[in-house]
Amino acid sequence: MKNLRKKHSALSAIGLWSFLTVVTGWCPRAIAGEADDLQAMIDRARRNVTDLQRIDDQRVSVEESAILATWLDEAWRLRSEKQFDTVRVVLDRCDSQADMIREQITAGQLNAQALAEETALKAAKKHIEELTRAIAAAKQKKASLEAVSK
Amino acid sequence: MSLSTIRFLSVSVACAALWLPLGCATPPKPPELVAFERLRSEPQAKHAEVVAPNVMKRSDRLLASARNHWEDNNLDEARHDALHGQAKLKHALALHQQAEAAERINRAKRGLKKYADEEARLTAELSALNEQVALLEQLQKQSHEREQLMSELQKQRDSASAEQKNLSQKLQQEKQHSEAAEKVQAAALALKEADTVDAKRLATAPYQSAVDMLARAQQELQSSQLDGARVSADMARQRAAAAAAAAKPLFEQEVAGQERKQQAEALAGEAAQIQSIEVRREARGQLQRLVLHIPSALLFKGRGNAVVPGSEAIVQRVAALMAKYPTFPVQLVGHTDDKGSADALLARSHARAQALYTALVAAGVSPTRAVASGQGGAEPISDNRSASGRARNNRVELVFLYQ
Repeated sequence: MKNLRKKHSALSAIGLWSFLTVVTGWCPRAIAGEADDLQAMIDRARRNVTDLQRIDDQRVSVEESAILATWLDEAWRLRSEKQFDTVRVVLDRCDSQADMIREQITAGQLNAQALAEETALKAAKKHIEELTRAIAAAKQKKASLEAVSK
Repeated sequence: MSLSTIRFLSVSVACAALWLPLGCATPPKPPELVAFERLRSEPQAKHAEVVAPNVMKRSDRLLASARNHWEDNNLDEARHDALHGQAKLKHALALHQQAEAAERINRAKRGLKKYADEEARLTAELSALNEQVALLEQLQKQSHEREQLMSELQKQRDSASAEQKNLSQKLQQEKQHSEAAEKVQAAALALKEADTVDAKRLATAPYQSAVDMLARAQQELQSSQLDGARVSADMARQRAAAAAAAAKPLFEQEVAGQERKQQAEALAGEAAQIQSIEVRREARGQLQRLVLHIPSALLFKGRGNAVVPGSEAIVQRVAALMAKYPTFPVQLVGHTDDKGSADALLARSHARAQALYTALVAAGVSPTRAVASGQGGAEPISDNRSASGRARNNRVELVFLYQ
């Protein structure tokens, strides 16, 4: 157990050393890479927004999509200001917003489907009522015809 | 230190004294957090906890973090967490809406399935009922058509019956008219038959009555008084027949008499052409007599009774005359003068008539055609005192009888 702890401590030391080396030696290059990553994430998120708007045939998430686009603009602005941590916080929020929009779209589609099914149900019910009335009328007509026949 | 400096310092101190408690107090709640709390307090959030508990927990953590940041006066962080938490809460609410929509869909599908079964049952029942109604309607229609047909047929029957009755009446009238006309014609014919026997003259009363009745019958026939016309025509026919019956014998007698008269005239003419024979006519009641007076000297010699030779010519002429007029009954009557006894004269006269009869039979006259008799000297036609008178009285007479 102690050996294991020693091994961990050694690895942690190596890791810390490596990290510091990378941070101190490659800092400008790391900053540029993070900005690119964030740009790629923002671009992907924007495409995602476009896709979501495209699949939102019920138009249930128009406002939320607009808010998401605003947030992505904010993220882009923050990236430009090199506030990368804040960009990640905003992007994390954007991911949640996109997930929420996706679920809202699904809910809207299901709601539309439910509405359609309920409309069909109402139509079926109406048809049943019509059939019932028609049967009653037919029975009455039959009775009157039988009475006439007798 | 100048006054202005003092003033500036005093104002600064005052401001600092005022700002210190304000800077230490909790800042106003960010609107994002307010909105987040409001959304969280809505009833749907409770339902969303059941459907999406993990998402709600994450949302609640973010809410708590936002509040903490707000209380720590870290408003940017508070705003970030509030917005993030709202997204999570809306995510949970969307999942809750999805669950509700799915439930609605399932409920609607179950209802649709139930209604589909019900619809199939009701459709079958309605179809059966409609078929029955259609059959009943067809039956009723057929019944109605049959009734109409029967009514039409009855009308046609009534019409035909009326027409037949009318025709029958017309036929009956025509028949009666025809019968009456036939009877009138029969009466007219009977009247014409009566005319043929000259009933107008010979049976004037019944004939005139028949004529009157016929005129009446014709008048009644024209005025369609058929029964009266029939009766009148019958009476006219009967009276005409009676007139004809009454007139016929008379007419026939007249005709026969005229014929006989004409024949007698002709006979007399032809007889007169025979030499030495006298012809005279006599009437005895209804009976007419044409007498051919043959002197005995032409047939007999002296007081003999035998027909002498040489008299055949006279016999032949007389026989031919009798053959030509066969309908006249003939009497051969012998006559003498008054010289001798009556019996002798009678016998001689009879013998002489018989001798002529025999000669005529020998000449071809039928034996039944004539009878012979003798009158002796009972019927002289001349004076017996002179020789010429006695010669005339000795004779044989051929008497042709007719009416």
